[in-house]
Amino acid sequence: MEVSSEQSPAPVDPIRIDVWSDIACPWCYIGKRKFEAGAAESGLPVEVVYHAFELSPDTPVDFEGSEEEYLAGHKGIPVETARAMIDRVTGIAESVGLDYDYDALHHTNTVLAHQLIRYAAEHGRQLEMVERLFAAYFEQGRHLGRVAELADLAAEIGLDRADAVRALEAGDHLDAVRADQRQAEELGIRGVPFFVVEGRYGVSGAQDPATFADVLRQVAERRTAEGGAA
Amino acid sequence: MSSGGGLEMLGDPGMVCGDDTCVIPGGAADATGDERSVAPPVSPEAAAGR
Repeated sequence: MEVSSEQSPAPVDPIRIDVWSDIACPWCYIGKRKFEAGAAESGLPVEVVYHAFELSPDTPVDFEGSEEEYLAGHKGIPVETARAMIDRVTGIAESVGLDYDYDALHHTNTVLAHQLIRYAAEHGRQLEMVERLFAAYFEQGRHLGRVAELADLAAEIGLDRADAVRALEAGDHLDAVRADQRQAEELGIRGVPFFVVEGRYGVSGAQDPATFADVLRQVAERRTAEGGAA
Repeated sequence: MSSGGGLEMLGDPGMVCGDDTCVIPGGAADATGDERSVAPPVSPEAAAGR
């Protein structure tokens, strides 16, 4: 078989994507799915790194009440409006294959979950941890504010449960979480999900896969025009 | 368009968010149509750790 050089494209460097996200953010899980679909559609290699963003840092670990009650209080809107928001986001989640269960959801403070994501990153498992935590929170009613529950989830993706407990109880990664938050402020990020591409371009929100694909192609073209790989 | 933090914004420019809601002009979303979740700035107390 004749093989031309055109059939063996030169290796391309992955496009770096830094994502600011909160585990308690319904649009972030939806945005994750849409970005993944867009990246697949683009055919371009990407390297994704997650960063911490706390939507509601004052939320107690054991919030008493339903999600609609929380939203109503947090946003100062009627409970009926909060219910409508939840219904809408649940429907959009379903459209990307996610099965949100707000009746089972435990609203909680996410600072420990962010520390676990950092811990997982240190062990090369960040993306698996993010995915596991999102599913646990939005689909499976798991309580992500407690060390024991988080350590169970860490073990589910192959991390050492006892060491995860130790790291969370010691606050080994709290400084890194706070550094992510400071960086978000410096970048002008006020909402999530927020995607920073190659450290230069920003994409806000759970945009459509085609939009993400277009952005990645655009960035790859600019990189080529500037003389880089891809 | 810039994020205010030196980033050049790409993607759908219609997805411009206010303080707590995100409205897509001409789209299906209404005032409850957040396409992202918006947080208040982290307070110095919160940033100091808990």
